[in-house]
Amino acid sequence: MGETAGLPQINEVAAYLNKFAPETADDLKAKGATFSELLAGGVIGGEDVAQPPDAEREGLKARAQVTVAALDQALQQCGPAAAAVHARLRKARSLQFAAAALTAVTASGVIASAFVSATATIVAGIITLAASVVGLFSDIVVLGGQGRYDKLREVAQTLIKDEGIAGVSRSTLAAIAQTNFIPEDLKDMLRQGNALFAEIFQALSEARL
Amino acid sequence: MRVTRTIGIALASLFIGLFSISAAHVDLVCRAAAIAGMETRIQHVHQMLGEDVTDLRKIKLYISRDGDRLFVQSNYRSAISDEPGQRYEYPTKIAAPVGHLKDLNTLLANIAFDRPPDFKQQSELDAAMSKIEFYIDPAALDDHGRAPIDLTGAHILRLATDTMTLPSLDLKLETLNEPPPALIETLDGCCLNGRPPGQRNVILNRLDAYKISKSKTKLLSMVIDSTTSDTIAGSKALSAMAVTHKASSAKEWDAALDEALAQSKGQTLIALTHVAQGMVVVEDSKGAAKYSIPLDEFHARARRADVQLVLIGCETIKSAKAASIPVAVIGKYNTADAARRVAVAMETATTAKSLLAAIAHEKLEIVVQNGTWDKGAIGAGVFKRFPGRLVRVFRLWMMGVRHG
Repeated sequence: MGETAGLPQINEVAAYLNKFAPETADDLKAKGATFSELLAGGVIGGEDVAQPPDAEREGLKARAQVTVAALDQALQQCGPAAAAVHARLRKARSLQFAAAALTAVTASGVIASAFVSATATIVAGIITLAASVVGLFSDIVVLGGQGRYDKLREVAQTLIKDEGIAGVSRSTLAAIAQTNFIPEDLKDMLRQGNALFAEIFQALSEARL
Repeated sequence: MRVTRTIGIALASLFIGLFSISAAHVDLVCRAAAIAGMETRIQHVHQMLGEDVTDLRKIKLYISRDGDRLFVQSNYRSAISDEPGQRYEYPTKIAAPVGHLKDLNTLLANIAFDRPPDFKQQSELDAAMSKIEFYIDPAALDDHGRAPIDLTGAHILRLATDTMTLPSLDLKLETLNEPPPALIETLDGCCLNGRPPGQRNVILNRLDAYKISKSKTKLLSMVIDSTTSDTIAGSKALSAMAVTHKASSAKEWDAALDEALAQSKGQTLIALTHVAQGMVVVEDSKGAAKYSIPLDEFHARARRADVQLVLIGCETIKSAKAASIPVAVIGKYNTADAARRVAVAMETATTAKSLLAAIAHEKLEIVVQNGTWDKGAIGAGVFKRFPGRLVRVFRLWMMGVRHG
């Protein structure tokens, strides 16, 4: 669920771990009921109730521990995922160039001058077909759907940005959770972390399409 | 009030509670044969409760109304304080204006003793509480299922009329937005309940008559959560039912709600929501509220749009006007779990009964209000104005035919 009454939600952290780092999620769940509950996924559709100070601190520490573990995983996954997306984009660009080149050949009149009339028509048709197939392969297989080039470029940028934020957040959150922290400070960091994982979840989902 | 027969101090006022000088509003504790004008009724209840007892642990209490007064009849013959070893010839009965007797402890003390109990007597009464059987007259319950006395502390609850006990699966006390708690009755399985109690068959028949089909049921998720969204996207049934939108701002969420209601006209809309303080609230992943709408307004908009709404939100049973909503939820629920339950339910559900029975489970207890799911019924409350407040006298339903 990622949420106990009165404490910030880490439902997006839980969603990320369950989907993209299930082994880490299982390891955390094995630590006890508190962690299992935090990693149940989904949100509680009701209002928060204030917690006693001790319970609040313990609850915040548990959330910080889960979020730090998730940030460790995100640091390992975001960079390679962005690189994979870039590779797909490069491949798509190459294929689209090839498709455009084939189309240009067909349109240029080279075929008509190189072959007799009937053969030229057939060859031009084959080349046009090949251009279409290459273009479709680029869109459907490489990019995961038509018109997704810009989306994937955005996803790659998001993953690179999130990797950077995850690095800073991980160090800060781990350090603060070890100290005699001010609850509101940690709550704020956890909220930011949860929002970060909402973005990472979305970006990784898009990257895998 | 006149008592037909008197033994000991068989007629008294409550020793705890208010005492009014007006005859019409007097608190009456009767240990005589009967209260004047109620002889037949008391005789019937006496037969229904069975033999008289002198053991506190075997007390049976029948709780009903006599007009605007609380009427309680027991099978317990209490001891006469002034005559050691002697007991009253007849079981104790109480008639008092509703509200004068605030709680069961006061009621039981007046039933069991003719003077305020001492420490030992009170301890015995407390120890017996879990064994005492309470027979509640469904006709005495209000729309919410509240009895004319706070039943907090009662363990064994049953339904009965003056003449017979009524079959019911299980009765539970549920705290609403304010005390006293209301009684709800199990309709099916562990977790599908109805209120007020005593309407089980009526409610189940209505739910059974309301047809459900995948093609005429929509789903609106008003929670921002990747697990819930993924659950919906991963289910063929749910993704086909889901009203898609890209709402972000409050205005967009409001428009998304309107769109969902428009798409569900004449059909059923299942809404997964986060409810806080009587409001449906959409929170982003930082916990900040992006949109909110009062629960009552949400339901009103659904009614205006001719939509049968199944609003799943935490503790909606505590909403002030929950007695008029088709589905109320007890306690808190998990949105992703609920989405999974809906997905499973939609595979087999053909009626509102099978849909709600399949959605309900230990962590998503549902209460269906009598008078709703009425095959296109349009309900209207008829109110009477009392000084400073409006009180609903009855609800009027106009029937039609609907297929959800």
